[in-house]
Amino acid sequence: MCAEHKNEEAIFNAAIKIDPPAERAAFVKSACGDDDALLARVEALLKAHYEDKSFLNKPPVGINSTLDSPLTEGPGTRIGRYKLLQLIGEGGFGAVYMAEQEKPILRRVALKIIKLGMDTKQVIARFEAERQALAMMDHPNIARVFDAGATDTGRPYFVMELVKGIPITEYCDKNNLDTRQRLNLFIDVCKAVQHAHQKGVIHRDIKPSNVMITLHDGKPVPKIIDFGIAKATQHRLTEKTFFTEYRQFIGTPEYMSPEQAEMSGLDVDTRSDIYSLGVLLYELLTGTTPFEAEQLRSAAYDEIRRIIREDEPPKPSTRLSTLGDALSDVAKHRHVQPDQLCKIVRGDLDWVVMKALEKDRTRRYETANEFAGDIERHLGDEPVSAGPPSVGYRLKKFVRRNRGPVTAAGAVTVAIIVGFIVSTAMYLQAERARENETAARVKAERQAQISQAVGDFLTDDLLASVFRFSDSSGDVTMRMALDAGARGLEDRFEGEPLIKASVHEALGKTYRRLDEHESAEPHLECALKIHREQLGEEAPETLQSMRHLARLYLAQKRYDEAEALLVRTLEGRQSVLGEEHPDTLESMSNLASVYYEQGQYDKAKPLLVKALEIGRRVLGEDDPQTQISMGWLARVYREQGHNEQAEPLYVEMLEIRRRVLGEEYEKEIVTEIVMKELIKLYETWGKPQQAKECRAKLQDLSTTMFFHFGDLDKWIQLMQAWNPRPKREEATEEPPPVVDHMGRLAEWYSEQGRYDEAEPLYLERLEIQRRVLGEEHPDVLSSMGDLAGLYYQQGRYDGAEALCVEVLEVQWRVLGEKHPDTLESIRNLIGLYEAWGKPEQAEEWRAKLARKKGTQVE
Amino acid sequence: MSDVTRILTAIERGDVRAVDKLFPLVYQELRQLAAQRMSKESPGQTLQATALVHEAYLRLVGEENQHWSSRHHFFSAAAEAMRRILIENARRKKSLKYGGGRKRIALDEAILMKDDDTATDDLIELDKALEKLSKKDKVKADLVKLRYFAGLTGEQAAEVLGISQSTADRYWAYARSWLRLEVTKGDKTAQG
Repeated sequence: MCAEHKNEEAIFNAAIKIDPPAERAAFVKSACGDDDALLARVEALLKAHYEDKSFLNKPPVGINSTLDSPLTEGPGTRIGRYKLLQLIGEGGFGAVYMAEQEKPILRRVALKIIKLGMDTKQVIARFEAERQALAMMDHPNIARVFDAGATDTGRPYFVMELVKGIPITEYCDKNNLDTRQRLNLFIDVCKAVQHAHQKGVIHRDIKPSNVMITLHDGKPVPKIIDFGIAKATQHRLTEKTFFTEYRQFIGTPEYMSPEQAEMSGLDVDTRSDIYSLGVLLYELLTGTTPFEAEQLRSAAYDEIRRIIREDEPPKPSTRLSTLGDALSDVAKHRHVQPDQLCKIVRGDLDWVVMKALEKDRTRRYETANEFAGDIERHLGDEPVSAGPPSVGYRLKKFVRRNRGPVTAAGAVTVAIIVGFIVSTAMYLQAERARENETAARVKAERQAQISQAVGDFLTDDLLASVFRFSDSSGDVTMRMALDAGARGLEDRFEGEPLIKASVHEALGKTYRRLDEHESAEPHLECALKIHREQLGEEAPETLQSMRHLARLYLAQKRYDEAEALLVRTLEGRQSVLGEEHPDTLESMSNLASVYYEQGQYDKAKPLLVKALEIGRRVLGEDDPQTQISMGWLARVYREQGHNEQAEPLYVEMLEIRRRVLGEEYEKEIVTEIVMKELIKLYETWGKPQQAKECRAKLQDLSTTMFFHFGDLDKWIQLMQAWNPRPKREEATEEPPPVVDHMGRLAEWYSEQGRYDEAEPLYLERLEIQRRVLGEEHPDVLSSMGDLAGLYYQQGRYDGAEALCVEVLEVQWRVLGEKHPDTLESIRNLIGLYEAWGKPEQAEEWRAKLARKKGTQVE
Repeated sequence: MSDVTRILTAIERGDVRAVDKLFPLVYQELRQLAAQRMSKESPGQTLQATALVHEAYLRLVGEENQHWSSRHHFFSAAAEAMRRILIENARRKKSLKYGGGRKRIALDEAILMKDDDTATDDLIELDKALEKLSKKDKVKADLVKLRYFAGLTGEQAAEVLGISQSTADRYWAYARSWLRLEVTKGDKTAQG
């Protein structure tokens, strides 16, 4: 060691013998003389010596199997600037103490120590990151968070404004607040949350115990506590931590939003708080949460997640009516008769709560203020913005509720249902727009009527028939359902011709998608006829109906009729909407496509050139309609052999797609088509190099898509387009590369908690590997291990056990009992039995393991 | 007579090459012992490096073989072995986290592995600092290894190193502060 370090060490050693800090500092100063660097160094060493007593004095981590050790802090303990006074709350997360701060001001604070202090540094770092935002929050209904730090035992703690109060639900029940009083308190809560959201702080853990009521001059004032803490203590919840830790982490799944339950890394935003507020309101109104605590507590972990993500909770009024005996108690706490309570909640409040509880966050209230606004409107007897859910939405929910029988029936595809919904929704949108134009007719009631009528038809007549049929024959098709629906159509919408036309159109389009052209025809013709009669030849709806019928004709290769209709549509739109309207442009490209199909490229080209020119100028090159014109024109050029004109259009399309679409892979299907056409162009043009490059890009794309969609068949189909090797059924010598992808995809699903999707993939991979590699191949054993791990995560211990034992049996025989893999399998089995709660078996295997080790050592 | 005892005896007789043979044995034993212990411990209990090393000592050397010199060599080897085991463990955790070698995470590890990025990073940082110290001042680094990784007391470590206890205490204080600074420095560069 060089001289200066010796010097440094000597001064340090001498200094730590001097006890009074002032004397010590003076000594160090004089000993270092004018060597400032040395002084700084020694001071830093001394600081390290006195400040961090635990460093190296505690056993190293990584060897302790402990997941959590009990809190050692208690009243009297000093933590930083704070002295703990008394315990005021305790839970799975840790403990809250009343504490005293002496400097810079003497005050009482609440100090919350987080028990799971495993990533203290990160917790504090995350807190620091949000400190600025937290400091900006200044609202009478928000408890301030002052500070955060780490205790001597390495646990994170938070220091907050001391709130003396009780949870809002408890307060309301204790004081028998009626619904109106409860709503008023809740509005204050919403406004406080809004304030936080405006400062960029999301709570993430809103629940009654975090919304306290304190009394100010006898008046109840809500105080939201714990802002910023859920974020700081966020823990990446992985499957492996779940078993032992999740309950502490999740704590109260009742208030967790679907996207939080998902835990897929999807960002949680302010709308997650809106959901939790919705749960809180539900509870204030009905005394129960949408999913009851018992239901969630008794469920397995994945079941909890599934319930939150998928199950539709009953409307508050429905819940009240099913409470039975408990209802009178709930009503009493709300100062009202039971039947009256149901009446108060039914309608507006139902819709308001359900809007906040939407699974899809885009359907919730945008802001907490909007939420509060609807409640204020309700209190002021004004109509609320939340209403009965839309038709499409009801339909989707219907399908979701009845998923079992529908898929069992087999023939009803989601795509068709969705198509139906879209067309209906489009009709309703058009209707709404039209009513807006003639402002006098804008009536919310009328809207609701239409939506109700169409919705009833779709769900009661159409989809219900699916289930009637499936009862009798067990084999039902969408076709049968549509037929049944069509039969009821004539009388159903008496006096409502426009709705009738819309449903005809929807049915016709659905038939067309099913390639049931003959059945589609009368419906589409009927829709056109009604629109003509009711609205006239040039009404947008009439032109739209012409277009739909024309598309049917096109599919039937009845080009002349299609052309005639499209020419009329185009003329109509040109005169009504003008030359540059997007719908006019759409008609141009539609008509051009009919010419294209007939090989009349000379007629198609001028239309497309014009449509593209206007599109670029008016809509911009990114607009989908412009893209459509571009695509058709590129095709026309290619067909005409004008490769040098076609190529730049294709290239441009690809560039735009890349730039505009970003991560929206659903739209990549189109990109794929464009790429394939470009490849074809290069090939016929005699440019193999470019074709090859393009192919490589396509391959990348489909791999990405594969991972995004998880659509294995689609992926295989794409792979086969340029590489005939990977066929699922035929591989004989070596497993096709597809098994790797199956494994990766399954792993990905499993990480997402989508075990039901992971399992069939693991099984199929295993099946292929077994057939190709034989029963005893290491890869086969490894795959079995993966599957066992999956079962283990799902808590399907018997399945996991069977696999583990099978693997072990093979390893024992083939590799020998001392092989590391064999030993690892034994350890797996022990871990499994432990988790399963079968300590005897675990012990038995442990003994075997120990014996093996014994023989090895001696 | 176990292999270890034989080797220790050889070392005492002055067979220098035997030192090289000792390490792998101690290392192997500690690894197995740690794995076995970890699968036995229920969550909530701490498995101490100290306990492990001492248990390994009793198993490998036995109580009848308490020569000063054996202890010296055994604990030096054990401290180094324990350090390696912990670092390997930390590295492996890190690589698992970043997606390397995900293929087979043993089930028992899945339960026992703590999701403890910070501690893992700290340990790796510490190891780097320790290596640096070892180049400057080997005795101090060895002292830290014996106390921290093998869990020896200051007195025991002093005995192994053949220095007085007061010297060992002085060394310890300085080395601890020195390493602390070094680790913080690493932190800063990693962040900045």
